[in-house]
Amino acid sequence: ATLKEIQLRLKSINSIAKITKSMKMIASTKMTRAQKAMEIARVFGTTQTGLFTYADTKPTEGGNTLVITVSSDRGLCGGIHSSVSKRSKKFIEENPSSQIIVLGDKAKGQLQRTVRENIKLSFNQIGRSIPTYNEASSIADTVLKEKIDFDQAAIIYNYFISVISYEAKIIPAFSVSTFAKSGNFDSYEVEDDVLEHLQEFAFANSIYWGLVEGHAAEMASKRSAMENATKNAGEIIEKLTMTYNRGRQAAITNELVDIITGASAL
Amino acid sequence: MAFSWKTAGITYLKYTQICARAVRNALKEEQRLIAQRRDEQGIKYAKWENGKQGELKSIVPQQHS
Amino acid sequence: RLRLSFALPHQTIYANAEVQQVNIASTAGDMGILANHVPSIEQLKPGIVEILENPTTIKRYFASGGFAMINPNSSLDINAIEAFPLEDFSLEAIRTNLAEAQRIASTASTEEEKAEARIEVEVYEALQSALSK
Repeated sequence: ATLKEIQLRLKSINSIAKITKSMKMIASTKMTRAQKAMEIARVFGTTQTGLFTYADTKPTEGGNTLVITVSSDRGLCGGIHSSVSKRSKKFIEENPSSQIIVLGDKAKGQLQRTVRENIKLSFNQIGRSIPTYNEASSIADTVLKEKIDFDQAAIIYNYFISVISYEAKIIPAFSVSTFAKSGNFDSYEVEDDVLEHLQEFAFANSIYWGLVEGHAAEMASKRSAMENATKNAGEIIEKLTMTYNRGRQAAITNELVDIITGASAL
Repeated sequence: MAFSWKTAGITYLKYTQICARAVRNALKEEQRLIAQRRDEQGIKYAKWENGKQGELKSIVPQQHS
Repeated sequence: RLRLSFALPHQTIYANAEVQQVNIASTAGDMGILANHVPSIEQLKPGIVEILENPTTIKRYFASGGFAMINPNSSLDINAIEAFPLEDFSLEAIRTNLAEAQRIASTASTEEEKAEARIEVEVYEALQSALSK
């Protein structure tokens, strides 16, 4: 490449690095907030699902299963969406008649390629900011209103391990009849209509937990992706600068040789 | 206690959303402005049939009273 | 001792804390919960959750609704959507909103709108009586 070309590439990579650097800063701030929200949502979620442990709730053998894949509409965040999509596909291989509800356009894009026949509902406009409980509750309410029948549901979300790692995990949800078959169910006093409300409430709470935790994992992953991109750009800039300086040095030497040769010819 | 709202077609989750919103609206201004951000909800959804996505619809937004 | 978790989607009020007694407004009636209470699942009405941390420290919240799960090992798990200390509420806002909800409850054109307004009336009346105690 000519010196001029190298100079142009340097300029464009420099501006790319500036963009990825500021995107990383934004993602960092968002991640801090998302992580705080996630820690609280996790307490809320585990407080709710704790009941299934106490009651010893088990899935109904051979029952209808619903998969809820929790992702978002947003890209540039590493393998976040394929993490939950892959886990969902694996789940469906094991339970081929499962119905799917997909949250977020990114996972929808990935799931509709292979298991589109199983999709019953898709939701979007997810991921701009930290999901609100109101949103989770509305999603749960819509699923129930659309009469998507299930004995048990697997909410597949990205579990936030640390700022640099996440892993697809499952939060379980159950129908009233599955819950009523729990091993320790008889030890609880509860009225029938209250039980029905509890199932709806627990369903909404678990979706909220999955959404907020997934959002934190996504922000962390976006931050890492932008950090890596900035680092890579930095390395390229360093190499190109060196090539450019070498080239310029060579050009100067050539000119000097010319001048000196010219001078001695006089 | 019977749940009178059920006969008007209101689900339990919708009922809890209405109660939560009323509680937020009853706060002193400072707390209210922070809490009302939790009213936000812009999610849309579509039904699927035989592998085909249907029309995209808004989940009916709640009116502020 | 009773172990209490009182969690909201956006805030943790108690995380597995030892307390003496918790009083809740359940749809089955008001009830006081001590350690070794019979396991039970209670739907909360919009109303007061009163926590006796010890005989001298009492905290009172108004919760919008949710569930209380009394588990076999003397742990009480409460999930509510909104809950605030009583001093966070404005009597004036309650009064204005109550009047407006009452108006809609009697004039709205659809049954659903009326029912929605009646739920609000119920919440504001519960708030009013909670604050006047």
